[in-house]
Amino acid sequence: MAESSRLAYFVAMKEGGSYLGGLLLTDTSGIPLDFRYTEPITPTKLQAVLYGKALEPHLKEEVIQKTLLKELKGAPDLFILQAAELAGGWNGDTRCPAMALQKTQEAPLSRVGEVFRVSQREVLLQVSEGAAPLRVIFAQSVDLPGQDAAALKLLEAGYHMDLAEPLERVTAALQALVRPD
Amino acid sequence: MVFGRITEAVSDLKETLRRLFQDPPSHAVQLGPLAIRPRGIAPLAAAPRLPAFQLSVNSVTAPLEVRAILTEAPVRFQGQLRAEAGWARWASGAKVCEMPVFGAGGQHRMEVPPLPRRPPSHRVEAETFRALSRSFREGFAPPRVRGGAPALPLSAVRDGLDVVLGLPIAIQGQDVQTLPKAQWMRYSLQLVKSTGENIRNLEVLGLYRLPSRGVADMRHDAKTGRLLVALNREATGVSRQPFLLARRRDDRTLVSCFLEEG
Repeated sequence: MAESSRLAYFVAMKEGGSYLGGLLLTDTSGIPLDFRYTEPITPTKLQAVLYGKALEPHLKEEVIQKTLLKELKGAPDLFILQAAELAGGWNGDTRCPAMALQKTQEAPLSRVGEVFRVSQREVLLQVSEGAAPLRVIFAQSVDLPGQDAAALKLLEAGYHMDLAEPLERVTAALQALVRPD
Repeated sequence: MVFGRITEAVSDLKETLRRLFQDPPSHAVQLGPLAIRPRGIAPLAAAPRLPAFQLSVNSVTAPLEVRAILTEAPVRFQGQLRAEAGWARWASGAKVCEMPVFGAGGQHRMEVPPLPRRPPSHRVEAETFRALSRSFREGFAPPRVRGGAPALPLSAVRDGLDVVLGLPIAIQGQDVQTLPKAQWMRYSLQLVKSTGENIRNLEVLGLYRLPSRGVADMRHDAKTGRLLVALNREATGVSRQPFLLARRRDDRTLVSCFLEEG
């Protein structure tokens, strides 16, 4: 088991009229090593009108994402995002593979550890016995060898933890910070 | 003899049956060739039908009896004598008017004034319209410019590790059946030693890898087989050790122990 691997989970969300984001760093067991979050940003009416539809992607990708990445100490081994965030774009270090994880309803692959390539940027991983495989969508910047290496790290971590669960934890933590009660 | 009668009877019967079931008599009928004879069709004739009614005009004279009767009106004339005195007054008071005779009188030559060659013209100076302009010196005040910088400020970043550690972490268990037998024997021995329970009274729920320190709370999710663990800051960065969770069969309470690897 690669004990030194560190997984970074990034979530940016809108809560009410404010935007905030969080970056959770875990080990391969899902134990938190570090967690940074931004204070909620509430755009003014003028800013909302001037930015229009570009407001949300700009806030998430340019403001929140970059700010959190600056504060991150040390480069993680994998960046894991929500699928919507990955579609918007990823400003992180291109040397560190970024990907989105999704639980699927697909039939299990033949054996644990099997990697089934769906497309140029998408693979299915059989992480645990008898469970539905996990869909992994890589960022544009991750080449094929990088994808293979990242899939191996995911399989190693998935042996001990639910790989997609920390994203839910980050979301819950951000909601708890915005709504303390 | 008898045989002869029987033979006759049989032959009669045979003849009778033959007649009964013989083909019905048929006779050929000479039809002759089929011929189509043209038949004339009576021409269509249209017969006018007179209407059953006839209009007739009868002149009816109204019985107006207008009779002209000439009657003479009773007209009477009466004569009266009247005298006119005016004629007599006119004749007595009449005057004779004598007309003066025309004579040569003084002649005067009159000069016909010549027509002016150029009609006099008078120039009339029309008064021009004049608009009075008034100066309005009070101009618009320059609008105030407010700083509406659309740039979104970078938000401050906070450390929220305690918040995340307070959330339950789901740790997937490992099925002990998949362990090598020797390893399982060693683990079960450690479990018995640390809990003091008979192995037959224990139902192993799973093998988990937990941080050796910093576990604040834990709960076993029987439905998914996962262990929900709440941690504190001591848990970050520490090594994880195998952790065996079991349940007593008699009172259903949970027992556990950290295992030593190697």
